[in-house]
Amino acid sequence: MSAQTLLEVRNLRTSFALGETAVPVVEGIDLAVRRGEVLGVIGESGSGKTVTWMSILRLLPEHAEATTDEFRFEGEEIGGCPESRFRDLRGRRMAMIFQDPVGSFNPVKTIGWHFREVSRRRASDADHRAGSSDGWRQEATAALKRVGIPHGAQILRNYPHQLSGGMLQRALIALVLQLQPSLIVADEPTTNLDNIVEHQIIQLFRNLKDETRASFVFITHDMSVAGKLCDRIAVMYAGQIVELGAAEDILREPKHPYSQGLVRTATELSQRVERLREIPGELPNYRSLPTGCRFRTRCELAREACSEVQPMRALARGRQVRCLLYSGSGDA
Amino acid sequence: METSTLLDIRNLVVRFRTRRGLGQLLSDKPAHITAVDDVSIAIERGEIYGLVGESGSGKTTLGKAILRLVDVASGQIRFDGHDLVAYPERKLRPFRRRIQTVFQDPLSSLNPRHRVASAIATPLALHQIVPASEIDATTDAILERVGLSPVFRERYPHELSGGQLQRVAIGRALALDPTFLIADEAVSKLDVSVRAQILNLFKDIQQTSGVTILFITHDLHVARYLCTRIGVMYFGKLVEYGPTEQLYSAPRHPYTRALLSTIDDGQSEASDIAQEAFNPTEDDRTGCRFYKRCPIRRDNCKAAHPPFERIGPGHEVACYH
Repeated sequence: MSAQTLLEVRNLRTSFALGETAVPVVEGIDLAVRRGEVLGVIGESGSGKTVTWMSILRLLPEHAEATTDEFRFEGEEIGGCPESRFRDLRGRRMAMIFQDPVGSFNPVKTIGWHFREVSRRRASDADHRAGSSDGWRQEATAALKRVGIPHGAQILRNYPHQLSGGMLQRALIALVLQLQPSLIVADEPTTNLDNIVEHQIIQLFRNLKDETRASFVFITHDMSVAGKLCDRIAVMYAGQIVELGAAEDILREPKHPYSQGLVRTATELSQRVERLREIPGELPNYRSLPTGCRFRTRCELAREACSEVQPMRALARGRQVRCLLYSGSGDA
Repeated sequence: METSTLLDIRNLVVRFRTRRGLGQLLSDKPAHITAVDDVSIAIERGEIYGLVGESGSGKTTLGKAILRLVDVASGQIRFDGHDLVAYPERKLRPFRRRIQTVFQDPLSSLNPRHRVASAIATPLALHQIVPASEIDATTDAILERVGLSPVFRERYPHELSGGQLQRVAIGRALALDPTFLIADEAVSKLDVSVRAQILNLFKDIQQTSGVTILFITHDLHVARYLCTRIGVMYFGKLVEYGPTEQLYSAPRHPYTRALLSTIDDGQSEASDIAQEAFNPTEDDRTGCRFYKRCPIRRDNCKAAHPPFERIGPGHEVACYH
């Protein structure tokens, strides 16, 4: 693991208990997040992108189980660390922003209360500003200003329900930044927002990427959103990563037939073609996944050999693709 | 006599009460909000008219008003020459057959205990579209038309995926051979790979049956792909409308410009728009509705909402600039 790598996971597997049996959902995920980068995780609903990150952050529901061969964070192996230690890391070094910010706030407390709590936690941590009891207010106002809320003092007096979706998402981002985490995982943070507000929040993430030293993982179903923001992209399909590489490379020349379909639909929609080319069929059910390549039942290029297990193959410029059309070195 | 206009909405106003009882008596603020505010739209036969806007802009309410699912405060909804607003419930019945809808979430509009075949056959029987002996064959034909094989006849809604459900919902709407179809965010919940399939289905259906479609969406790419003309709504008002290509290549209203810049990677006017820092209230209804967020506002914008001005063939904008 090089010094530029913040987080590295090897062979992540997650299964969900369904009655007596365990249904494997996420399989064979190898993933590294570099320091200071924005990694986009793209996939449709049910592709396992949220489950992957819930697994990594240990936020899975009780009936799900995740295992890794290796899980290093900030140079330390934490795969088997006790819950209390992990909880501590999750509060201070890793943070998650969800699609619906309402659920991240306590509805009967003001926005200011949340900032004070965060400040207190940090103070008890390292005697950080322990002396000034009102310092949190200035810090909070400055943090809100940074995310584009100029009248922070007023917002701090508001309750979550008094803010619009976009404002609340901004406030949550400011709150998360106060923790100064090294990893921020944002799961579809703009999906519920209107076009113009969505655009502004993506702009905000772009600025934050330059201003902070944190790494961002941006989970989205929207290729064009990922293209605007991410350095690298991982495309997920049916619980596996099918393609990984630099964002501009994947958007310009996707390799995996599934990524090709996603990029093609996005491009055709923005260029107003006469008729969209479709990806036939739908995501397979996890209880009856095709053997070998999971996309082969929908793939126009599928052949017999696709029913064998496909490893990730390494191509040039750090690209990896799970498809036998490409003859890179296997087991990347 | 058949005119080229199928649906002619004139000065439509829809209000919702927000305060009742004591709250209304004690407050000096208005007890209602105006969801659709003096909107006129003419939809031509055989076109796909796109209505775009943010959540809360009134686009869904306008669709519901056409079906008389919400009370209309004033204005006219002339459908094929009949003013639906003036009609009592009894006289509306034939129009409930001719105007069909497809909503965002098909699961909530299908009965969970009815199989797919019965979801489609029931309206066929109820409206006596075909003789009883032909209902089975017609059901199969409709399923085929929306891209589902006959094996889906015996399935229940919970056994279907989002895309398959939306196909059933579209099939059920088509069963009654409607003249007018209202699709309200009909592809918004679908995944990218399935969305293209359903968009193409809408296009095919329009071309083969000639049905007129009102397509309500917040997705500007989707609207552009499907629609012949587009109207942009903001805070209850129609602010700009015109032929799709004209509107996308030369948008005039600052709101339309900001909206379109969000799908454009180039210069971004959306960044200049004030954040949604306020929840619009009835007090903001005097001047131009977009005043508070507008980057090019002037004092005269505050006095009254600007009237429509023609800026190209069939292209009109409500802005003083």
